[in-house]
Amino acid sequence: MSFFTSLQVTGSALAAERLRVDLASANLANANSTRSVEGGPYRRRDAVFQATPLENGFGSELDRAVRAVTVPQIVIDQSPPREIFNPGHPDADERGIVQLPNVSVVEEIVNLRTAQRAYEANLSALGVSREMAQRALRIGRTA
Amino acid sequence: MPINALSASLGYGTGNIDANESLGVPIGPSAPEPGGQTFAAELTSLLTEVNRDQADAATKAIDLAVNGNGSIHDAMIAAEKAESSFRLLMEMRNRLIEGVNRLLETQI
Repeated sequence: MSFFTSLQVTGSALAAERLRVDLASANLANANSTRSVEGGPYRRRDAVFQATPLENGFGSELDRAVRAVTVPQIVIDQSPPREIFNPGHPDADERGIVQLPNVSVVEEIVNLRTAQRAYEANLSALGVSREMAQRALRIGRTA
Repeated sequence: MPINALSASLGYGTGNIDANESLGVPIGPSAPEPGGQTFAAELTSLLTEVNRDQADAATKAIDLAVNGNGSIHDAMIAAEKAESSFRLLMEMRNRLIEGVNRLLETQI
């Protein structure tokens, strides 16, 4: 039943956008972290989205054309870290330069908002799909 | 139409097989449908599926509320799926009951 297909597709999109929000939150939280387990300052993370066929590909040709979204990998931004002069900082090098994460707070806020809007858009798609299914169940009734 | 022919065409009793075949379509609980499954089997599998959806939704809700695992939208989607399949099942049941009632009203 195609309603369940769209539930599955929207579910994957919601999970993906949710992950994007998580990553943006993590980037914001670590916007000033000068240390990380990998060594050096924190580097910003970003999700890569990929269109993937649904797992149960036994439907019709049209059903098999429908793609869900998955996140195959999370990439680490390789752009150079921000550098500020702060000789009093414990992580400053011999010249007094501190390396800060390559996170732009403004950019992360924009990413956060985009992910939020995308989440809402997917919820609207789910609402439409649900309404259609419920209307279809009322076929043949007087009201 | 004689009564035994009617009962045969409805699939009850052991009545006239010819009456069944003269309709061209096999009717009755034991007659296999073109898909290869009887209606009763289809209904049972639908019931099983609805039950599984309900159990799945309950598990996800409990997992989210008690263990803090999973995501809100996952649990809500499972609940939505369970509700929709249950509605579909109830609609099927209502139609079936309506059909049987209409049959019972038949004047003999």
